[in-house]
Amino acid sequence: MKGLRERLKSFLGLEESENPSKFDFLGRKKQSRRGFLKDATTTAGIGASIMGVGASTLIGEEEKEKLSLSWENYFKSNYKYMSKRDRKKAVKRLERLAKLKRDENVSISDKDAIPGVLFGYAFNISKCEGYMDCIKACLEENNLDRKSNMQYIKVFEVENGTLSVENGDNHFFHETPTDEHFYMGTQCMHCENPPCVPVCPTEATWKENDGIVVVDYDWCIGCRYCEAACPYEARRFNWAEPEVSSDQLTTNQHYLGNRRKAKGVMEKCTFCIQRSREGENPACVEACPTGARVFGNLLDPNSEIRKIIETKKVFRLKEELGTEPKFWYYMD
Amino acid sequence: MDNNFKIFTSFIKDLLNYSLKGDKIYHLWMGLLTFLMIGGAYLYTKQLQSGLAITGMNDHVSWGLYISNFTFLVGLAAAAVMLVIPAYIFSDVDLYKVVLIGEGVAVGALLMCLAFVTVDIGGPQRFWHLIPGIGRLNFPQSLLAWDIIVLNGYLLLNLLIPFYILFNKYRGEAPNKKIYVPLVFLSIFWAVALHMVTAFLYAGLSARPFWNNALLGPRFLASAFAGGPAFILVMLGFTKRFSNFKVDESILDKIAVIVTIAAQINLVMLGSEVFKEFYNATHHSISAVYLFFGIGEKSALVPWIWTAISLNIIATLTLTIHKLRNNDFFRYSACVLLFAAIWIEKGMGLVVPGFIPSPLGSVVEYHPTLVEIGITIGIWAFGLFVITLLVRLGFAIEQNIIKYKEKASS
Amino acid sequence: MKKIFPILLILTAACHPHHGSNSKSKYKELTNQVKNKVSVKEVFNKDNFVEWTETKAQPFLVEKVWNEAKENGCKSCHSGFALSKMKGKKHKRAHWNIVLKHADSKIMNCTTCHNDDEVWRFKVGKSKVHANKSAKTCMQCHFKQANDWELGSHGKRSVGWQTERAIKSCTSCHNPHRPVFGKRVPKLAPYRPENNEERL
Repeated sequence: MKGLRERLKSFLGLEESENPSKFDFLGRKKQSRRGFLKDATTTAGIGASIMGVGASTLIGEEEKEKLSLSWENYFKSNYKYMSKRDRKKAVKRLERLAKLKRDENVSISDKDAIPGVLFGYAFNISKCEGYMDCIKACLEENNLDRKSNMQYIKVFEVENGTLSVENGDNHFFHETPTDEHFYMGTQCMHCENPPCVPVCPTEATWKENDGIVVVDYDWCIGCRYCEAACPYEARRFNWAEPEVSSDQLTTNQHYLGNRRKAKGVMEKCTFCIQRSREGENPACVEACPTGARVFGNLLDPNSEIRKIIETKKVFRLKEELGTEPKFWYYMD
Repeated sequence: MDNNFKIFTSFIKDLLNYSLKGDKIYHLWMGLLTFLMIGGAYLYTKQLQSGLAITGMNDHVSWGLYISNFTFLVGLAAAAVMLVIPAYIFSDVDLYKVVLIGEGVAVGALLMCLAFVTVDIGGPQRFWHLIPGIGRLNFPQSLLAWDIIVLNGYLLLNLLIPFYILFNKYRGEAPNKKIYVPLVFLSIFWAVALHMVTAFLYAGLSARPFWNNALLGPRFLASAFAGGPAFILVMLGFTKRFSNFKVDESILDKIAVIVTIAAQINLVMLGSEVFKEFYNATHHSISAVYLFFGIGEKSALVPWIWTAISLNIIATLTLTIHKLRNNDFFRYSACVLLFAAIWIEKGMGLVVPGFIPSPLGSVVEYHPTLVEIGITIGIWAFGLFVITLLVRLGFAIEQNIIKYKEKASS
Repeated sequence: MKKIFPILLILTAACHPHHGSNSKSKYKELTNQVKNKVSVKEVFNKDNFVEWTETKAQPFLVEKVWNEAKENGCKSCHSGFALSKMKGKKHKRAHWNIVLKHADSKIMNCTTCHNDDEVWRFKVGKSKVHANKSAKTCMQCHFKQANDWELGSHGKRSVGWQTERAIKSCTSCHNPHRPVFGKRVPKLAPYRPENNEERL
């Protein structure tokens, strides 16, 4: 009921103003488009709650809360344009819904990009042996669909004689490494000029300030235009409802990262945004037993990634497309 | 003089009455279409339940039957209005007669396009995210956003113009040329823009070399102006044969000429594309190799494309020869063949090979499932239903069968 | 700018200037514009690391690979006995499970790296180092890898990217008696997006 009172207050404009310019010269609360939507959903929420109270003999308290939270969740706006307060509300709502729906205790972060950080990644193709520890770690960290065996990372077995990953095979499953082959992995390259971002009709995907290209899973309508536009096969679509059992779920999550997704939305590697924004390495970097993966801040001149770009012979995939990927390959 | 609102309600009533009356063939046809629509709707509920996993699309070929049909139908919608041009150039034909037929087909085709997009997206319940103001439409960056605006604007135009003309005809007044002629010209340019924007959707993707060429837009226009009027010609032929509506022979002749010229241009463009892909084949041409010859054992589209090309050439040749073009049997069969050929080469012959091989070299084929095919047939049935309805009503009003009768005041 | 760019493109057919951009200089420029330096976190378990100051670059931390228990284990047999006196039928077979697969047997044997008297120390030239600095021993031959290791392109961080530099030692990843990683079966089956039946 407390929540209901708060909502009533905000709807009637009785809450304290944080920003004086929210009121016009007559002292009336200025109504922005977002404010209108907020009030409309609040009204709808109140209406739903009233209905819920009336129907309390038919559905329990938890069900009512679930319905009302799902209703609010449906009407929220694009995360990119949400205020800090709305983002906090959104993640709290999702945490509560996770508890109600599957009795999972998750913490969903809304942490913003750390200023002065631009993430970069380097991959040593002399060191990769095709063990795929990275893929397993990624799958577990990012709560990927187990049923379809969805994987963000692809490891290619390429025959010696070409550096072109198109000539490789990423469907191998035998002991590695084999003679006359080398191994290289691909995932989202987090391009500085991503071709997948301008094509989205609803602005559901964008590049954050620290260079990570993210997707707002609840805003995506599932048109798959970004999947057609990506030259690196980075994007994954949830063709069916993703299945991850609660005991295998990673509970430290980020709104733009590894939280549970619905069917019909796009997802992809986020450089483990829930980890990298806390100063940790992505799961793939941690897991690699040969040290083939390097991650760091491109704007720090002392970081390993900068040193590698400056000293080693690096290349990127499909540089001629002008996408400026932040994923370099190098050799010993 | 009764007021407009009364006339309008009477208009709707008369239209509904007329739609429900007809001969046996009409009822059988509409009944069949309704049955297919209901079947399609049922299959769509299955798709909503299990997600798009029930289709044959996957992460490599992420657009399939739905978007193929969407692409083709945008062309049909755009071309329908191109009938207006001969009516203007050979100005002995009454402008609005031809416009009506075109608008009816355009509305049907556009509704089909919208339906195909709706069944293709993973989250149709979030469609409101696209509405500018409430959601966020990524205009002008995203070409899909452009497409949505252009499509809906075109639908609006195609509903307004015939409504204006027919409503006035219904009332017994002549429609004011100063109002509808500028709108008709706007719709001609809008039709070209519509199809170019749809082509740019594909041509702008640097990740897909099969689509990323300058000729895609003009090719789309040429194939649309061949396939669309061909469809209308066949439709008019049916109308002439099976109904009491009067259709001027000169209209049919002129449409046939448009189809012929457009089909010839389409073949020239095809030749140009084939030369570019195969003279010095680079790894960008692998998609064309897959389409025409297959890669290894993967050659599912090869019989389709060769059928399409042969039908295309046969139809174009037939139509080029004056004697054959003016013969009813050859004319209509050539149009049917041409329509089928363009449906294949613009639908699955364009959308699916663009995804094969994938950007990192995987060759994964696409096989539509029965659910997908069922929903596609359902949507086509819906479109034909709308077209039949609108064209029939348009003819009836235009030939004064449906007229407003003022009730005598007591 | 990005929003009106598509319109400009259509009007002027301008060319997209993306060729030939130099990664290094671009990030240098960006670095100079950065106002806030990202804070460096401290390693929380500093006891697990030793400082490595023998480098031209900034000193860093190296993961410890040795502990008292291991050393006592060695000392329990090797204290006070010269290695030469430990061979022969009288003595039990020891270290039979260590097969040296490191270069050729003509090039390397146990005492190439292990000090003759204090076998728990390692040779660097004519002197010896503690096991936690055994990287110096490896470096004598593997100077190329050593350079890469100090640079950051060989080896791995023990900590996150934001923490001060604390990296793994050679033997954190490589078994010194059998340094090549060898063949393994991949951890899981590849993702097959075309397997539609499995996803329903």
